[in-house]
Amino acid sequence: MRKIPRKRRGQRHQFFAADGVDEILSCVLRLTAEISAVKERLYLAERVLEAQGLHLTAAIEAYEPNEAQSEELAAGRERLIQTVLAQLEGASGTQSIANDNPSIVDAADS
Amino acid sequence: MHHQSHEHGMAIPLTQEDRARRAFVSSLRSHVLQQMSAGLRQHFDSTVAEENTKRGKRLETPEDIHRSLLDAFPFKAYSSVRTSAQEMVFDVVSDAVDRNRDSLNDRPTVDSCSGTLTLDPHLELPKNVTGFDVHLAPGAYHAEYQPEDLCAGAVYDNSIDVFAFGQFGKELNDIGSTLANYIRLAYSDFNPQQILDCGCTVGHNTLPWATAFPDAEVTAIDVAAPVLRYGHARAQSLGIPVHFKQMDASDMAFDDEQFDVVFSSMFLHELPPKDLAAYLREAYRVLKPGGVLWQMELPPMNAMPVYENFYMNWDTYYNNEPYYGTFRKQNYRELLSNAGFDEDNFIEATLPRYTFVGDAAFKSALTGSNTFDSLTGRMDPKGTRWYGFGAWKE
Ligand SMILES: C[S@@+](CC[C@H](N)C(=O)[O-])C[C@H]1O[C@@H](n2cnc3c(N)ncnc32)[C@H](O)[C@@H]1O
Repeated sequence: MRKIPRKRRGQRHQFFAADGVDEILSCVLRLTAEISAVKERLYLAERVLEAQGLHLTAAIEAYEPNEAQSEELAAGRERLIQTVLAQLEGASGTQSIANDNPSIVDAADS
Repeated sequence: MHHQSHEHGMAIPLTQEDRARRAFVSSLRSHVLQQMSAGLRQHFDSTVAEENTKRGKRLETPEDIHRSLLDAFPFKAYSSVRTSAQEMVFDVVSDAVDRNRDSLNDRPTVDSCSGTLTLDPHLELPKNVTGFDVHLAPGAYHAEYQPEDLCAGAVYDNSIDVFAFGQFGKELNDIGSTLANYIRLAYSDFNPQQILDCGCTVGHNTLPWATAFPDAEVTAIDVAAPVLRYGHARAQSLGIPVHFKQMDASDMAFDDEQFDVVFSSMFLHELPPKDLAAYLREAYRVLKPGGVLWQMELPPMNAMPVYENFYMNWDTYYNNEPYYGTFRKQNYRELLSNAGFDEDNFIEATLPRYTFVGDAAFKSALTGSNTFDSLTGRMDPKGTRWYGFGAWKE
């Protein structure tokens, strides 16, 4: 089954002069999205359990994951790494926005 | 399980993680377009504009402003974050669409509604659709990942939901609602029977025409098959009859003088100038005498303050919208008179959002004059105004 492409065609623009800054900013934002999702999930988990009279924090500290659970966690970490590194892996490079770049003029004009 | 924010028969189930990621990207876009853009404006006013004045340089055009800001940190930060946010819009919806691919393609279309779908497998797709990934959307509108695929429609519907951060209304149909109700209320004697929407995508802004004019027959065309398949299934599930047809708007298969209204939204600025001119001539041809061409678009450069023009044209510089700046530079009245419309029959309006303000407030706003400022044509919770222009055919 073909998947929906996660990368668009064409190069990214480089806004910051130093190489990689735009890409790292993109990594950070993607990472932040993931952290945000996790925080929200944990928040909801705590509320759900609280409503059932369970106190999660102490139970988490005492818990040992088994082998299957550890594998599940490892797969999740790999997915996270792929997401965070999306702009660095298989990227097609950047396009400069120097003063003389034609992209400053509309493509349709030229 | 929860679904997209707007329920319809093609909505896909979203996990809590999907929803959390989508909510994050919506918040990020809202932040960039308000806080960061305000910071950029402030930096421009307090530093860049002043420095240039001191050096006797006048920033008269959007390009002047653009150049003056290229090295400014707030401009780089705004542009870089906005680009990432745009990429993330598509990224955070694709997992859920991929997961639901089979179920989406296999969902039976509701047949208790009289809408239709007519595809033309021989239609040649224009370069503005196939040549690049417009506004950074991987696969754009037309990509098919399996035979008779409609997933590009699902990606579009879901991505607009994230992209708009609520600013297109709960059912993503505010633009269509606003422009349709403008015609209904400002021209209460006008009773259209045949309405056409061009470049309809999944029909977000087509459906409100059927609601505003329940006696009319509504037809919607687009060149891309997946979005039409999805749009048809979505409209049927909502019980709103629309005839979706795969057709090039710059070369329509309709007879002369068939429609009372020819509508489009966010369409003209995605056309190459030649196709735009051909489309407007076609619109004139298929309109009945006494009918109206009416389209939601970006406000023209000649009506907007210069900083707003620079700010709006960011998309043409950096967001894969190559025709957008050229489009805005034109005199819209002249565009329409070149297509056959009488200059005196030109109409335009800047309108509050119908589904946000409600019928009564919308009606009373119609008597006011047009306002072109930082709320016009922008997505802003403080009170966006949509810009519409068109012409009556004699
Ligand atoms: C930005 S979208 C329009 C959004 C839609 N009108 C709405 O309000 O939700 C542009 C659409 O125009 C379509 N399109 C581009 N060129 C076209 C042409 N020559 N004829 C018909 N449709 C075209 C694209 O496939 C795409 O679906």
